Amino acid sequence: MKLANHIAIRYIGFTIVILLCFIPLTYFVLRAVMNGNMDESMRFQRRHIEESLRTVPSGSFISPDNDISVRQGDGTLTSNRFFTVNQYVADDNEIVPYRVMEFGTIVNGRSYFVRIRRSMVENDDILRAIAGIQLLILILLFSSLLAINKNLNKKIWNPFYKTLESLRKFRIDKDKPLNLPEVPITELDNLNKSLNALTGHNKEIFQAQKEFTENASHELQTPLALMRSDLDMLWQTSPITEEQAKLLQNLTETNSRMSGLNKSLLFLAKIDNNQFPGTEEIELDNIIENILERLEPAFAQRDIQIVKNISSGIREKANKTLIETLFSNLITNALRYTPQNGTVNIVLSATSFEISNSGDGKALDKEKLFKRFMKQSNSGKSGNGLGLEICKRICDLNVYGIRYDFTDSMHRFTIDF
Amino acid sequence: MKILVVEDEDKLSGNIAAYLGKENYVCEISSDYRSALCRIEGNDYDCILLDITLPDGNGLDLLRELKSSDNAAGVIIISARNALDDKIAGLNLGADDYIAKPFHLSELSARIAAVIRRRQFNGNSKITTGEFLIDTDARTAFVNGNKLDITKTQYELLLYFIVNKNRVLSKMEIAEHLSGDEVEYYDSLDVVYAHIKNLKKKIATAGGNEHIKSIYGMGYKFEI
Repeated sequence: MKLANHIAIRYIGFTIVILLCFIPLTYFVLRAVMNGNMDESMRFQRRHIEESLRTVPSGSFISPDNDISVRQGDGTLTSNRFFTVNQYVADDNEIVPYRVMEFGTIVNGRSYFVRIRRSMVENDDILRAIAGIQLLILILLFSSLLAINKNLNKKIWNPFYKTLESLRKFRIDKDKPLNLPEVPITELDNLNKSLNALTGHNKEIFQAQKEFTENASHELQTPLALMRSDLDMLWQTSPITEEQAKLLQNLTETNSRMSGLNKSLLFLAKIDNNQFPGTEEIELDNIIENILERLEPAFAQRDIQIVKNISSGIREKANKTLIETLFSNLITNALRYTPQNGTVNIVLSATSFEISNSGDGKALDKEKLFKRFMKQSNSGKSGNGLGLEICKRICDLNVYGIRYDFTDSMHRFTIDF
Repeated sequence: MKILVVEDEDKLSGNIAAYLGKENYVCEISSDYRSALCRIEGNDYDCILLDITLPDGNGLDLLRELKSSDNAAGVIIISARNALDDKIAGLNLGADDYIAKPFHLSELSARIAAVIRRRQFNGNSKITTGEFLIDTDARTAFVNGNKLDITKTQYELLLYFIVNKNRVLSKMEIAEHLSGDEVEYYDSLDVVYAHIKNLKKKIATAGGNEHIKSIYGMGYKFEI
């Protein structure tokens, strides 16, 4: 719920409560005032009646409209008695409320009992009108509150929503800074300034970290190159005993692993730094067939059966190096983890690429799968722990979906173009 | 064959010179921009190995200098940065090849041989070693005059062996040579084994001798 609506609802609720309390209060106060007025005017009438009785002595008398009745009194009541009564009026066929005053009086030695009544129909009309007006005020108040609210949303909250939108779109790894504008409202302006400063600072730290990865990888290349050339020279010396050869082999492999790791890190840093900008039309089936051709002997070596269903003429606009790396990583992964005599299925269609391989009967942890250095295999032939992360980044960059599932003892990776 | 190594890491250039020296190359070493420029002006080289980052300048500037003076030497750029931009810039400026650190000396040797071959157009596209004949234009190989029915990869492998003949080549460097830049993304030692097995079989079928020797089961040597 929007903050403005949240506030408005409380305003409106409070207003309703107050009005609901005040409507009966108004009713009773007005009624009391009106009754008072009637009573006052009936008191005047009493004096007038007493005056009339003094000049024209009378017996029982009832006025034609039944509003004044005078009859023989017993002298007990002298003070005025007021009350309200509902009476049926046959002419109008309705029950009408009346304000009634009764009193006893003694004029010229004769005792009278007088009853005066006044119709309260008009008063009720007035009250009804007042209630109507109050209701109208209520409706007007609501609608103006809503209107003000809408206006608030549009004008006052607008910069706030813009800030929210910018924050939502903000990515620390993209080049664009947040750059929230200055706004006239102090609180929002402070918010924008704080957010600008916060994101700016984070960006700098992120940038520095990114550059560190790249620089560290670069700087490691030279010592790795020196070590490798030394190893190459060492290989050429003779005699080399079997024991030395074993050690040399290990050193060479370690050197290769290190430079592989280093290159992968550099590759990731380059993807992050958008250093693969060029895109071209690529025929995916060609790329996949080329990779398979290159790896064919390795698959054959372990008697792995490749079942492929590759549609031809599938084109994507992307960076060739990245796409080659993507497919190469997935296919070599399948090669690496498929056991002897296993099966690898490769399906390429216009909308997706799917590679599945038989493996041990355990699904991989989806959460960890695409994160760096999260190796899930103890088989000793695991890669450098960056391959799938590189795949994920390449897919993200090209807005492809990549997912993993494990069904019927097959590990399956799917890329949705 | 005269080669200039422009590289500021003395140990690396020393190893390069030592390795290439055994292949009848004469290597000269420059460790900075200025001395490299002097040597280039005073000598004719067949191939120049050029490091991009030099203490007193950029290797790419040196490359520009070379090209503007119509120097005939082939140029292979060596870079620690492995940046695509460097590669593209270098090749656009007229470099013949690009190799990223770290590299195997056998790989460098193969690249140098290829560059020199391409530079010498006077009928030298054929390499003869022992009973082998390699036609690098047609990318075909012959044993005792019989054409070898080999795949592209096996051809590359044979050429690599011949260029680095009588040297111990580890499986790792063979794998890296065959798969180019991508070797770090998979362990391709099985592939190497399979390719070598097939190549040996095909050479034998064509009537060639067994030249590819397994060394302690860890590397290979093309003995001739």
